[in-house]
Order: sequence, then structure tokens, then C-alpha cells
Amino acid sequence: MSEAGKRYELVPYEDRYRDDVLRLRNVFWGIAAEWNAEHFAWQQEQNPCFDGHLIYLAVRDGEVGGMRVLQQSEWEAGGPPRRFRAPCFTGTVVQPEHRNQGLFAGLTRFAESDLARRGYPCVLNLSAGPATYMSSLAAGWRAIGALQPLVRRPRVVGEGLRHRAARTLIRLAARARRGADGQAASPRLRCSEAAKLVAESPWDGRIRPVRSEAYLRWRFRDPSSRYTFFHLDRAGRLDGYVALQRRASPLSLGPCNVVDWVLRDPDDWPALMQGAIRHAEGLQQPLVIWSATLSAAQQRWLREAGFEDAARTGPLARSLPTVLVRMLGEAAGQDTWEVAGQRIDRASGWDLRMLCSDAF
Amino acid sequence: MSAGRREELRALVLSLLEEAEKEPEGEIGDQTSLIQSGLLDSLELLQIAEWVSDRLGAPLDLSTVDVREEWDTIAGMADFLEARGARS
Repeated sequence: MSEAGKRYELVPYEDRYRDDVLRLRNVFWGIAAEWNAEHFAWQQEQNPCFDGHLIYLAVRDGEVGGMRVLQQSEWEAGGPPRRFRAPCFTGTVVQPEHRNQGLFAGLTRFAESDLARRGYPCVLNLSAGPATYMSSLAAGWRAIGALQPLVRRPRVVGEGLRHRAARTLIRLAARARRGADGQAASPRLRCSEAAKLVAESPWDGRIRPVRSEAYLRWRFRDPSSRYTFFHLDRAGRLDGYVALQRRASPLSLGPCNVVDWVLRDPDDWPALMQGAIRHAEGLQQPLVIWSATLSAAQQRWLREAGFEDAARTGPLARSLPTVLVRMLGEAAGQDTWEVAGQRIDRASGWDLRMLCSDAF
Repeated sequence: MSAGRREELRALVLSLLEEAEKEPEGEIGDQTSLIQSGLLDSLELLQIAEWVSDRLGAPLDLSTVDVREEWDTIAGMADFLEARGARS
């Protein structure tokens, strides 16, 4: 930190800072007041892996000048699977009058040092914007490569039908409630069955989140999002599900994101995805999925189904979105960054879905 | 690497520092640490990434770059551009 920056006290979160943290989230991240406190409690305290708030603050003269916030997460990798916890950075605030004093770097180092002391092997960031991306690389973090979002745009309702748009959309939306193979759209995941499905379904050992029943129940209660699920049932047994996410807002505009799926039989992928496609068509919204860690066959199927590379511009167009990783402790000095036998700094080590990111 | 490229980079770095109202201690030489010393931060680095992408004629996949090491100095950035076949 700069000389001026040294006047700040860097501290872990305490409950006396709760109102400050909520205010900063509201002002700088635009988290709507009506669900700010609820989202904070969901992200931190209701997280099934909660073992203390993961928030670090820079305080000067009793005022919180900046903060870095993480979300707890648990992962598994390898065969037999080994589990590990790796907190994910979710956001940063440095108030305008406290900028250019090295608070971002100071808070990051403070957080990393505390988390290393607490025994975490690594930290992650699955929602970095351009500025955080660059400053993280400059601080020695690594990026696994772009997650290559694919988007499928809805077929446009004809010009001649515009005057009947409302009626058409209502009809399409009603149709979208039923997916392929008679799958019905549901606002709730059958979490107990889904967790059992995860345990029984094939998996190649790449790093993935631990989808326990408690995790699934918590994850899909994020008050900032709305989720829709398609369940694939056969002979009274859950054989697959896909989860779609949209931003929670009164108008619910914006893309429909494929945030998670699990299949007992990989051949059911088209059937499951058709449900998602029909749902997005019904809503007349783009459907988006991260493709970087999908199999070649899945990527091919998506392109044949009308998905294409999402248009991105700017100098980081080929770099974002991504996963930023950082080993903690002595292991940070090694060339190869491995946890539970998997490379964490290569896309090939991960089985990634938007579910893993706090942004969805 | 041509001296011209290094001068171009030096001018870019100096203009970014001036814009950010940062005063380097001493001259910015070819081997002056810019990133590890904390002189450049994320906003300046973003603009450098944009400039580099422009010179390369395409967006860059930064996961293939060790920014902290390869872009830490004017000489490092110039070598990087030469290795990637940047246009003049």
C-alpha cells in the first residue's frame, strides 16, 4: 500500500460492520434494497459451508473505505473424489475518496494471507470484470482461459404478428411450460433426488462443485435470480435435470442462462437441452451456455441446434469470462498448480457450469 | 526489437501515468519495473492490453500471457510484441 494507504486498518468482517457492508453493496453493486439483506444472509450465513464471514475491510477513522467479499464453496475432484473448500472472490468496493491508495491490492493480500492461515489450498474468482481480471493477473493470479459462451437467439416473431405480440407471447410461454419429451417446467428442483442422481451419474473426475442436497437447496434460493428446472423422469426415477437462470426483476428481461445439468445417460443431452431451448423460445429470450469445458459432441450438438459464439468486443474479448485461480501458501511458488490431483490453472481440469459462479 | 517500439511504449506508459496523476520516481527505463512495483494498476493495464491487441490486430487471450512477468518492463512488452508478430 502507499504511504497514505498505511493509515488504514485491514480487518476481517465483524457484525458491527454489517450496515456499512449492506450500504456499500447497495450503492456500488446496485443490489436492490428489497433483497440486499436477504441476499447477504443467503450468500454468507445460509451457505451450507459457512464457517465465518468471508469479507475483508479497510477501515480509516471508523469509516469503511473498501472491502473485498468472498463466497464459500466446496469442490470435489479425482477418483475416488477428494473434496476441498476454495473461497471465491465475488466483489470489491473501494469508495471514490479512498481510491489510488493501494486498497485493492492491500485487501487482496490480507485476504489471501488470512485464508492461507485458515488452511484453504487456493482461492478462485468466477465473476471477474476487466479491471479485476487485469489487476489479478498483475498480482500473480492465473486465468484458465475463456469460458466461451455460446448463445442461441430466439426465432423472431414475424413483423405481421407484432400487433398480436402479447397474445402470441402468452401462447408461446404456455407452450414453453412443457419441454421435450413431456418434461414440465418447474420452479423447484427436486433436490433430494437430484443429489442422489449426481452421486449415481458418470463423472470423469474433473473439478466440480459438491452438489449435496443441502448445497442444491441453498444454491437455487439465490434471491437475485429466478430459476426454472426441467426434470427428466423415467420409470419413476429422476434421470436428469437442467437448471435455467434469469435475473430476478419485475420485468425479468435478459438472457436465459443454462446454469446446471446432470444426466444419468449422456445420450439424453439432446432431450434435456430441447426443453431449455423451447423454454427460451417461449420467452423470446437468448439462451446462453458456457461451452469451454463441454465435450466435443456436446459443442457440436449445440451449434447444430442454433447456438453460436456470443458477440464480444474489446481487448479482453478472448479472455472473459474466465476462472481466475491462485494457490495459497508455499504452493503458490510452484509452476504447476494442482489440488486434489487436478490442474486448477487449466480449463481441462474443470467441469464448469454457470452454477459455479456467484454471478448466476 | 527496434528502439522505435520501445519509445512508443514508453510514451504510452508515461501518458497513462500522467492521466492517472502518478509520478514515477526517476525515469522510466527499459528495465524499470512497472507492474511488480505497483506503478501500473488495472486501469492502465487495461489500456495497455487494448493497445497491444490493436498492434496484434486481434483481441488477445490473456490466459496465455504471464502479465506480471512478461509485461513488467518496457523491454518485456516490446519483446512480447515482437514474439507475437505485432505490426509496426
